[in-house]
Amino acid sequence: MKTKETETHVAGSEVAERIRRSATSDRPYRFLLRGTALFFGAVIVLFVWSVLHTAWPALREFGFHMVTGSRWVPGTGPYGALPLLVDTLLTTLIALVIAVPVGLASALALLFLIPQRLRTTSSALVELLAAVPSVVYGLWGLWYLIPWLNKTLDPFLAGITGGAWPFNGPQEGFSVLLAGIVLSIMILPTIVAISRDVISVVPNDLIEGGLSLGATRSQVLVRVVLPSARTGILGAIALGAGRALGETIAVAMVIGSNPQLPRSLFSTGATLASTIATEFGEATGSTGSALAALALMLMIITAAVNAGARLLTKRALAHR
Amino acid sequence: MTDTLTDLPPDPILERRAEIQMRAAQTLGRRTWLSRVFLVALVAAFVLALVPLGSLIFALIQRGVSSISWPFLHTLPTQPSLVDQSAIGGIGNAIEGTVIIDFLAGLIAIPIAVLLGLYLSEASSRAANFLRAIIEIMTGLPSILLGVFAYEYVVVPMKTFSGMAGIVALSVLMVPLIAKASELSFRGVPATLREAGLALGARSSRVTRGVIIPAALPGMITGILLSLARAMGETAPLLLVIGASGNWTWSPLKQMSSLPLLTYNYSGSQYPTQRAAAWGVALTLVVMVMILSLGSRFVAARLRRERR
Amino acid sequence: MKKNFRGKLGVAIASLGLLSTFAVTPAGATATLTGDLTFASSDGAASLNPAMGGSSFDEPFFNAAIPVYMSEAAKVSGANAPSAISLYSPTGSTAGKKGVVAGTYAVGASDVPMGTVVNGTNLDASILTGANAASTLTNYVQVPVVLGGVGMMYNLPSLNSKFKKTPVILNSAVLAGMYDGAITKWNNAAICHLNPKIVNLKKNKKGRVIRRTCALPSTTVVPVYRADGSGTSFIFSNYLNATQGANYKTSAGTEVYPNTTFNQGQVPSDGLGGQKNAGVAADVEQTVGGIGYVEYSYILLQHTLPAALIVNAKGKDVAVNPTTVAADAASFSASPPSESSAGVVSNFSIVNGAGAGDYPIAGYSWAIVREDWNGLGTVGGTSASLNSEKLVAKFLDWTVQSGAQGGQTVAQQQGYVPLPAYVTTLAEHQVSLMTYNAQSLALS
Repeated sequence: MKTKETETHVAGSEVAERIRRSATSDRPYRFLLRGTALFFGAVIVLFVWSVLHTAWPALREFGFHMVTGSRWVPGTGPYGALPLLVDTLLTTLIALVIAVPVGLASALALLFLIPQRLRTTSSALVELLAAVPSVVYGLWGLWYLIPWLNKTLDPFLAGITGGAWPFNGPQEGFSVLLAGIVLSIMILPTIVAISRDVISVVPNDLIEGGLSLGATRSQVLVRVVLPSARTGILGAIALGAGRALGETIAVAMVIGSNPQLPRSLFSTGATLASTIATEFGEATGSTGSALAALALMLMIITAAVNAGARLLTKRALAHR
Repeated sequence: MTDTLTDLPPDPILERRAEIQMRAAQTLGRRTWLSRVFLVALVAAFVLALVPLGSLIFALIQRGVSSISWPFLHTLPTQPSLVDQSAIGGIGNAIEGTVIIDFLAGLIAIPIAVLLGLYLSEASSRAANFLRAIIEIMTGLPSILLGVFAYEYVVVPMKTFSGMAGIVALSVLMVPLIAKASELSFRGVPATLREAGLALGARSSRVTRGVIIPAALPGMITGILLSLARAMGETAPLLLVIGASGNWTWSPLKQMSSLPLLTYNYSGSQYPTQRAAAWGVALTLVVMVMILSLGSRFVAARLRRERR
Repeated sequence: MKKNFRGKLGVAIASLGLLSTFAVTPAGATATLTGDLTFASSDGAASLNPAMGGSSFDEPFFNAAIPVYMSEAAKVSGANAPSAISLYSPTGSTAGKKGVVAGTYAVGASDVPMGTVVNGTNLDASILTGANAASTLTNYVQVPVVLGGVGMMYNLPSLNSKFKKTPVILNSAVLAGMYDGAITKWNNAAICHLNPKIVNLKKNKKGRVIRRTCALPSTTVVPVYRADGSGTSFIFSNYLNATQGANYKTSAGTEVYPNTTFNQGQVPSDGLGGQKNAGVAADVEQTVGGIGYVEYSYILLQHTLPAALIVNAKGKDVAVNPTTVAADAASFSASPPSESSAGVVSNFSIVNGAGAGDYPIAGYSWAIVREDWNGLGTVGGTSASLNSEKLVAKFLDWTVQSGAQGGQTVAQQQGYVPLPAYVTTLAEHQVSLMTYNAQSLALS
């Protein structure tokens, strides 16, 4: 196995030879490192296997209906996870619609507008949001946001469309909308932190070039900075989406646990993750397997989104 | 010659430039105004982002502080009854359970993760790259999946819910986080340092111990503390596997209590007293998490300063 | 201050109800066991920690009873008394049964006895699978431990000022309609018809009433149900099944999820799923127009929200309280619950009692334990031994006792109704069936 250093440092042949020898002679050390990697690799395989293995009976019995079916009835089936998939995507979408503009604006403000001495404090504050455990967001959503939605936001939104779609139906507080709002707050720090990082590597020449051509600051931000950081920003958004898709407890506390296709944003719902959390303890027979199938779907979706996100952010930060 | 010059059609580029300059000058006022509005909007959005944080902290402090007292922090919980609704007892064993689970999960995860980080920072084989990619993806996987995993492999064979199952779930959660952070800090160590060590004839294990780990320490510790903080607040995997306990449980083989789970259970309690206490539990949890995550900043800064 | 007072008032009313309960059913007349609290040092009970869990209907009871049991035992047995029993995990009825079968719980509590057959289907078929001893129903003992009413809690703030003392009256047809989506507004004609007192009166100049209009608001009905498997759901479904018949019968294996019970498995589309009893109560509290079914003590505690009066089999509107629930249970004394040789408990259902004072939505909750612990290895996180089995048997025996130090006293402090004497007899008999290596535990 070549080490990074020998690879990048082919010049001094004698030294390199010495390094190579000493590196290869250190068997127990190599062994330990590889052993650890193998061990954790095995844990990952076991982890994926545990989910696949448990989900298999349900997948075999219900097949593709699990993705397309729209009725989810724990205990007996049918186990159609379409409502759960739709709610998972819908809550994530709501979260992104709120968090992306606010997050990007905050990142730009943090980098270009906030006075230097406030900057550290401000970023620390945003990162504080990231450290708050999700159950605390759930608690807050349950006892602070629900009354606010009931009294203020829901009637206001219903007033805008005159009670028509997408703000129709009874206003219960518990809703897909509320879950989306809570998620938006939870993914905001991710979006702010990552997009701040990728925007900060936009070359200064570009910014100054734009300014020197007579563009205003906002024009430079919108037409120069954001486009050149777009890959990384997409990555930040995807990372936020990944977190929103898999968030469990906070969503379970505010969405209303109703596995049905939503009829409006005020509808109660249930996501893949929240359904696993609420039904796992009571699951018997086929339900346990069906929940594992939900876990499998969740794993595939979040893994894909995260992989995409990593690829995008990595490409963007490679400029540095 | 001059004739031909004047006969030339007007230079389209120059004309365009003049036009642009005129447009720019004409629109300058509007553009500056728009720019100003836009910039104000950006700052407003940032302030808006801080509103939920403010509300959350306000709620936590306003409702949490009043339910926290010294007895609350160190006594066992009791079941309120219709006769005495205020008898909710304390959260001592939940704090204890949280600390034990987090500490033991860290104890398992840290050595594995640091070695894994070392491996990833040194190896560049295809297998290593694959493992690196998988580990990066794992940092974003929903934690509830690890609850399913620990249920299958710990709760079912042990035939009991246990702190151990929570420890397994959280350690698998922490390994990718810490491995990632340590890999980055190992990579951050200048190659010249390592080569100097090797050139002196030291084995690479000796170089790792004597040179690389000390040099990468601030980054590693930050990563470790942040992962401990993240794991401490996790509720979803614990919900599936650790059960409940009303006693001091020092053995992780038994069911345990923990702060995040207690917050979840109290948040919808029928007893208004427990519901109020949920905020106290949450505040305690947040303070503990903040100590770890602010601690990580502090320790890192301190170590970096000493280094200089 | 005001809240506090009201809380105390609630307790006072509850205790009054309980007193009258005692008058109806004198406790322990034919008791075979006495809830023995003595432990010798050879019992090794001090450090035993058998895990219990299951029905959230039972949570307030078990979590209050366990510490009381330990302190009462300590008064009698000093340091030999059990002192390490963990709190009860309110994971839900199905989880309770699953746990006792898997051996994760020493005691699993469920609102539906294990092995109950509804419409020809064994509800626990998926738990009791395989030919091993753990999956054989006869290897379990099922003990009724608490009796409770299920109240219909609702949230209609617009009625608060004027009709505070006039709770809404509902019947089974209306409840079924609310949960299957047929009734969507609170001022539905069927509800108005049941509530002649909740009216706005229009008077002429002489003060004569010239028109009565239904004062119920047009608020949308939000039926709150249990998102998790639930025995409380079973009791409620069972009630609708008994009163509304074929349209609402539980179809195969769907005991625990109310939405499968109604309208052939359609969740009310504006419904709201809550976690456990407490979650349903919290959801109703947060939702204007919400209605949900919860154990009585949850209503007693929810000082701000009323419970509906329910029209019973005799056509009387009855409030949920210890007296009416006890009356309902007493109506079934002629056909007491019993366990067959195959381990199936029959006659456990006490919904829709025939008496005029009966509150019709009520049920027992059952503690389920392995009958013989010999050779089980680990049970509920403790090693299975004569000592650990004996501790659990003694504890269960104590929980069903009504005396001043008995478990049923704790139950009444938590808003349950003490077991009627004929059920206590059954419970004691069940506990006495427990054996270790086929030898009787010789409890006293």
